Amino acid sequence: MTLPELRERVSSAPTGGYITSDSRMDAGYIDNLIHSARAFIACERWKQYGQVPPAYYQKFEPDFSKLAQEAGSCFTVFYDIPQIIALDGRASGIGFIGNLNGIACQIREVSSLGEFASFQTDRIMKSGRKAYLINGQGEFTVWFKDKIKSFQMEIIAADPTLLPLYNVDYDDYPMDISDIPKMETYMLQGSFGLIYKTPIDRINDSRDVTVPPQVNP
Amino acid sequence: MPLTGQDFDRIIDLKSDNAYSGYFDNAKKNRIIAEATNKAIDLKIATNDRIQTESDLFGIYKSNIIYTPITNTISLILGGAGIADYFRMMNLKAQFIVPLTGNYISEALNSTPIRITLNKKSNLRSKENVIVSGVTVNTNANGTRYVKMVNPSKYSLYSDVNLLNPIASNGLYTGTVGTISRVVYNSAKDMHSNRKFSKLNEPTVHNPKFEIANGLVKVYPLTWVCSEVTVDYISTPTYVDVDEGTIDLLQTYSSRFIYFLADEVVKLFGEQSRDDGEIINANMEISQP
Repeated sequence: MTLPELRERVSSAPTGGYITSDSRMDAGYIDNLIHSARAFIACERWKQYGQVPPAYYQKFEPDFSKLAQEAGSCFTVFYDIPQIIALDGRASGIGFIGNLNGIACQIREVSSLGEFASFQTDRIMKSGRKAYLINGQGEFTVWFKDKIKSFQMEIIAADPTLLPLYNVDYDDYPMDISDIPKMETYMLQGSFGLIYKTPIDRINDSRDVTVPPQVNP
Repeated sequence: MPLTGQDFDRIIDLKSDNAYSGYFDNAKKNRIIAEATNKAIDLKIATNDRIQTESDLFGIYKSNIIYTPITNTISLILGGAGIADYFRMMNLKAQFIVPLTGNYISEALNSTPIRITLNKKSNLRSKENVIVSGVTVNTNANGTRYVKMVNPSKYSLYSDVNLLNPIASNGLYTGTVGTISRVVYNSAKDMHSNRKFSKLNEPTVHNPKFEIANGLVKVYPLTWVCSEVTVDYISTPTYVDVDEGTIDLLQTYSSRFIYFLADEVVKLFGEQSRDDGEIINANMEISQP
């Protein structure tokens, strides 16, 4: 299901039709809610099962710019990195990082310069790993004995549409289809502030059958 | 059987019970009919979720009409250079040509279909509409094409969206001057002044918007050139002339709409002559499904 299809589905649910003048149903606002709900569901998945389904990950290759590098530095900086979600206090939404300059190799993600420095002083960690990546503020800093010009990674981006190889109109939205009903529930109740439509009680039997369905969030 | 303005006059005379109601001469009748026509059309548009609306207004309902905007605008002036017979906007699709920035065609093979190679990966997908230009030697590659993805940097070129008609080559091209642009063509939503501050709902080429102002329809985002629009609209209505006896109104409106219009006219007659009974009767007729 593509993002425009998903947008139409979730906004049709409360309105009964997509065409509406309500600004809450505009594409930009709905897309923002969809991205947030997706990130929230991915975090829930992580906390519950210790993993996130592959459908959430997207391939990403940061662009290397020679001009952007500091002269004489022992690290490489990549700019314009889309925001990546945090799955919990420790884990980020980065899956695989590797393939250095065409050679199969895995890069280890570290959360800060402090953590990286402690690895450098640790006898085992220092010898066991070769490349480290620090992610933050829209930048990747890659520490390696040689300059790194390209690498591949799989990430859960906060806004999947910002990745250069993602096609909004043609690619499936990167989330598991089984999580879409959950997304609708979050959006309807949490953001649109709309409850489920109740059926009309047409039976004159003094019994109320218009109770909204019970939803387990 | 045709239904002319004179026939319509007889219908409203009958409905308004002419012998007992206030008298209107034909000129005044025509003025009231014009007002009632506008009101009746607007009432129909308000319930546009049914095909009945298009069916009632089949002669003035225009769909999929293509216009070329000038600086993202189209004139709505009656008889002007844009939509010359504009009355009400129904839907608008906007086309934008978006170049694949930082990418170029490095090779176009001498094969059928022509297979192009880009200098880096792109997010083009099979069946996407593109404009290829600047390819030398293998010049058949240039033009409006549909792509079939081989991999994210190699694509085959076709002339139709169903990818049935491959483009035959006329040489081998290698170089850096061939460019490729994506054709983005999406429906636009209406834009209002009180929403222009919204950051989340800013118009984009994928979610364009349109505004009606200054006798123009403006297509947003203004930062991209809109190269074409496809418009559904209601054209200027045919106003009934009660003196006219040759033009068949059923060529423009359904008989259902003509009787609906007659009820609207009678209602306005009642309002003009302060005939409450006539207004009540007309309202009852109008509210019939």
